[in-house]
Amino acid sequence: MDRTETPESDKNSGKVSTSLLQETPEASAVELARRKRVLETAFTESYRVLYSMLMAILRNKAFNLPVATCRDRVEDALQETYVRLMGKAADYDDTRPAGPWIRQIAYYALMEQSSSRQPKREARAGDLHAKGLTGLEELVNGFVDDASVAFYDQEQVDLIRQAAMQLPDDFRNVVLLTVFDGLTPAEVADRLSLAPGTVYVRKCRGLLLLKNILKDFGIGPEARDGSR
Amino acid sequence: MKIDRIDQLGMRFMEAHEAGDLETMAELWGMAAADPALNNHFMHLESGLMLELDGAIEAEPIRLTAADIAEKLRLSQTQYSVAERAAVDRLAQCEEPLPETLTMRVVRGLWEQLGLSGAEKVARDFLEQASALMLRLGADQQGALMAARAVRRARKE
Repeated sequence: MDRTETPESDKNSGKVSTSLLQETPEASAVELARRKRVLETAFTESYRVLYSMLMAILRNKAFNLPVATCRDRVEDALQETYVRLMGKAADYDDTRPAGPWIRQIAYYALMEQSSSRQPKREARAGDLHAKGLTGLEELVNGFVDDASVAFYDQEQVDLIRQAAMQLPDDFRNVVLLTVFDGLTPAEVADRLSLAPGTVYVRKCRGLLLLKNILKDFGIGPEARDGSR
Repeated sequence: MKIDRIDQLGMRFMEAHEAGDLETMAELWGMAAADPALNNHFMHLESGLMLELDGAIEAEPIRLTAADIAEKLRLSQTQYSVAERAAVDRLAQCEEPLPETLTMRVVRGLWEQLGLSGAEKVARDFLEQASALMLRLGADQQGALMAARAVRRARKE
């Protein structure tokens, strides 16, 4: 799959220079109104998905709130999202999709409402290793500095494959096809007659399960570093 | 074997979603705003999660309000007289749920309740728009109505 590394947070988060809005007051007002319309349309299009995602988060065990409370909080958070979007319309770079920016604001808006109920932060996937699972990928792709390590790593690939075989069926098939056989999610979706989104979700969940199984096998980047 | 940075961020996305870690979710979407490949990945994850959530998240059954219909009338760009536009403005203030079955008799009752006189054309258009909306009140339409209500509330405040 063609994926490129892109420098992110320092560059922007959906924002752009406001120079265009400063040319003349009239042009500025017209441009601002246009950006607001674009954002309002994007907000409307994202509303149902965001509502469901935020409701799911509030309804899960980390918060365990009554349904009516969840609805009120989510609706308030989304209303606040709209207010902030309009307030920041002058900063919006409309060469970029508004969806991620809207979602970022919405999650922050909900977080601010629920600050006293924030769950404790748990260990994350990327915390597995200084390089996260990229460390693992380098390991098995032969980015190693001597033959003995390469041999050891190849042994690990077999173990990792064995570990993947322990995954529940739904996850195993997707992980084997995407991670080991190199198929794209679209190809896997076609082969397994699944929605592409389902393939993405199963791959992620499968990798998270695999990470835990690998810990039991005593292998992974941490084990490699410990052996040196 | 292929696991890359975007897969790792996808795993983090899934963990944060399931742990209710709103801050991480916000940070990840912030990164996606500047990274089309990451945005694409998250959008797919979101659509996969939405498939799982369908039916699990019981959105409150939405009931149309006069304000919902008034908004449609405004957007329809029908030419109204000053008095008719005033009637639409009055309807736009009314956020009470409409009855589930809407007939011209019900609309006339609403007209009486809101003190609207005349504006027959608006009443007919109102009934037509409301009936059409009720017929196609699927999930997307509900989302659009809920978004429009959020926008109206925000503007009022």
